[in-house]
Amino acid sequence: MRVHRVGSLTRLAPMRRAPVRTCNPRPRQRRRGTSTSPPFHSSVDAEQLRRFDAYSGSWWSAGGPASLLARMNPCRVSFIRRCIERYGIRPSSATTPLDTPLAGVRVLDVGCGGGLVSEPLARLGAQVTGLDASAEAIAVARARQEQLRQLVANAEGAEVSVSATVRRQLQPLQYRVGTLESYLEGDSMASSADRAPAPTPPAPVDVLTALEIVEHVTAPRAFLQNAARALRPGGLLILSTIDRSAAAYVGGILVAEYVLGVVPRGTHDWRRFIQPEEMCEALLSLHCAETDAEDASGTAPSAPRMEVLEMAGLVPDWRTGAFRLSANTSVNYILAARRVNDFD
Amino acid sequence: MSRITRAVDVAIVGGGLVGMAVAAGLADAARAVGATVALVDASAWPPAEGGRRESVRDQAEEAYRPESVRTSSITPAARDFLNSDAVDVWRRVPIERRTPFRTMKVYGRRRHPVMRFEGRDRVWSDEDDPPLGWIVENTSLLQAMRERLLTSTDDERAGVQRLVGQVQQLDWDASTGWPLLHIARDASTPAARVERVAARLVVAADGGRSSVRRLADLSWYTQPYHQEAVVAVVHTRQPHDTAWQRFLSTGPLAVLPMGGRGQCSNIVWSTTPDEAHWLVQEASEAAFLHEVNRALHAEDAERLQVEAPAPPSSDWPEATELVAPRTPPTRAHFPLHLGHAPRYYRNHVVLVGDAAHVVHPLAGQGVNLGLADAESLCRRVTAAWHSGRDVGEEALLAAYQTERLPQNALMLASLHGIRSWFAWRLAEDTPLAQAADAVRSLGMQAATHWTPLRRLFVQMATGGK
Repeated sequence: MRVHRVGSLTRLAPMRRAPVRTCNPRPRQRRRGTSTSPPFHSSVDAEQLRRFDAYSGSWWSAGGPASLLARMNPCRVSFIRRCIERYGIRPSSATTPLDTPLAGVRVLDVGCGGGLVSEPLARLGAQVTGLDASAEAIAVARARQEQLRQLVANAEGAEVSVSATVRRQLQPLQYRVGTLESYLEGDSMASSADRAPAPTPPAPVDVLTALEIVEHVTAPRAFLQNAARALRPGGLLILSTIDRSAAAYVGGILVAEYVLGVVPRGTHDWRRFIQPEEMCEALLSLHCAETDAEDASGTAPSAPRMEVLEMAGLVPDWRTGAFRLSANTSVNYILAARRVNDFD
Repeated sequence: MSRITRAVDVAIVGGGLVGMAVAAGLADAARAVGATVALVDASAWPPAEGGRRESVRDQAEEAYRPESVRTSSITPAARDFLNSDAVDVWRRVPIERRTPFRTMKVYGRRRHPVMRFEGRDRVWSDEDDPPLGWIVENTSLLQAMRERLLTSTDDERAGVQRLVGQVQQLDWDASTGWPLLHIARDASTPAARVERVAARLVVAADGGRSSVRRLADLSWYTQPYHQEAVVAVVHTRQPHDTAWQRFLSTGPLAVLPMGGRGQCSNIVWSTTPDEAHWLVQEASEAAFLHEVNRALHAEDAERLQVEAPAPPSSDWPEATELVAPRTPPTRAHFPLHLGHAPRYYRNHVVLVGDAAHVVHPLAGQGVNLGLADAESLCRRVTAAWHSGRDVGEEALLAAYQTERLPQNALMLASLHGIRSWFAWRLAEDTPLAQAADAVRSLGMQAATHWTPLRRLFVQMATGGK
């Protein structure tokens, strides 16, 4: 197992081995009464969902509540792209020199919101499916696509040259309403509004991104298990969230929500934040957690084994207002984990 | 909503040096990510002449002849950008069309003191004998950029698409907010032949009288200098590698080396409209040369003299003959003004080069500021493409403006200040005028002999860090 950690490796090292051997995963989240959640129980918090439905009009507005996410975007997408390239996720059939950076990579963007990350990944050539429990957010994301389609469509048929970045944003990019659980079951939460309900369990994806999502779900552990199930063996899981640290309380809640007001008040609950160590521990011990599932349905499949590949902090650059990758994971951090090949 | 004929990522309006530099700087990156760049040029490119360059080389051995009277002074910073892997234009400029100068000599109404700046003052440079800059012929630089783009447009799928025409109209798609450019050869072009290009980002590089800037409703502050610049090419008695500049109260006169070894010189003379008109339209060749030499060598250039005084020493330039360039005219004049846009972007339209700022040509900074704009924009757009970002995003354009606007405004103000400092004219031979002369002289002495100040000047003039 390779762990490229930008920050201190020493804090992570002992945990890397322990859970695998002892199979005694008792991460602190479970104390919050989530142990009863069956593997396919919706991990979406209804109250949070209402909140995000209410924001949906402003996903793409410059000064809106999602503007902080937009500023994080370039470095989050760069991190994802770098990991995809570094860990050989790109199918070898698509590596002609003129192909786009992420050509042929299947990505599931869980909690895509208005498509802030789905769109850039699609422009880079990935086949992205954006998934969000908020029907309103998906409507916003789809409306953007529809607007672009309108712009280009009335030229269809005539001699028109459309940039590949536009075509990629329209063609392989799909949005669906649903949770990760409903996605795995192969149905859609809003079947009437959703035109294309997925038939059988969907094909496993190369990359699953869950950016700034884990701190909003009720059962992070079940969520991680499902995320791992959605991946193909060798596939990448990219997670970004907020550390449960004093710095995160000051920077992520007090400053962001109350002083600067760049994030709507009440978006985040500090108690739901997850420390990087806990996250690694949970990921590394996912496959030991069969006991969790047994009380719900005795035949639940065991979660795949995961390995943590690298982690980096996201810190704001006060001069430019943009975020950059750093070794400081004490507020926002992003990590890449890989589903271990079954035969390993 | 009108039907579009093209959807591109970046549409560059203007096929001048800066617009072409942006196109060249983005060509490879566009190809790497599958993005499309459209370059809207008012004039069709002349067909590439493969054999011509060889013949130019042969002729250069015998007698050098300039392409036209228009040159640009390129600073080392701008040279580095043109020489970068992405732009890759510099090596395509024939060596006799880019002449380095290592010394700059500047003097005022009196023949002394002469301020002297050396390439050695670029102490931060790691070159052995660093030049202060290069005098490059505009036509050759433009031709080099066209060559560069022609080699990269063989791939239809992505890269740079060329469109010939002018922007007739600019509007915005109501739902996506994308700008739509209506491009036609002229206003009478039938609607079916009008190209309608939708772009994520429109780069306005169409010069000081930018039509895109006007259509995008970006404001513009301008002020005429009531001066005209006269340009011509002359032979000097001896080749030189010094950029000479004399500040007369009517405006600065520059003698810049050309032809690779300085066998020719470019005259750039800013003066009153009347004198400019006389110099270009009415003066005979001999009268023009006489006037240039008098303006260069007279002890006090303000006094009228019939005889041209001899140069103080043999290393001073002395114009002997007017050179006819390949492309007429032999002499030209054009009015000068100052201009600046208070903001550089709006609704996915961004200004670069002269569309954003027009400065006095006295230090040859206009093109260099434009190339610095191009460098900044190319760097940001390339980074955005590589992270899948929408290049029309306001945050990206805001960051570009934050980087470029203060630097451009500082240079604009400095040049304006230098011009005013030397144009400061008071009644003859009054104590006040003498005091003014003394202050000017003192300032020039300080700029020559006080090393930190001299280096600061050189740093500003060469675009150094």
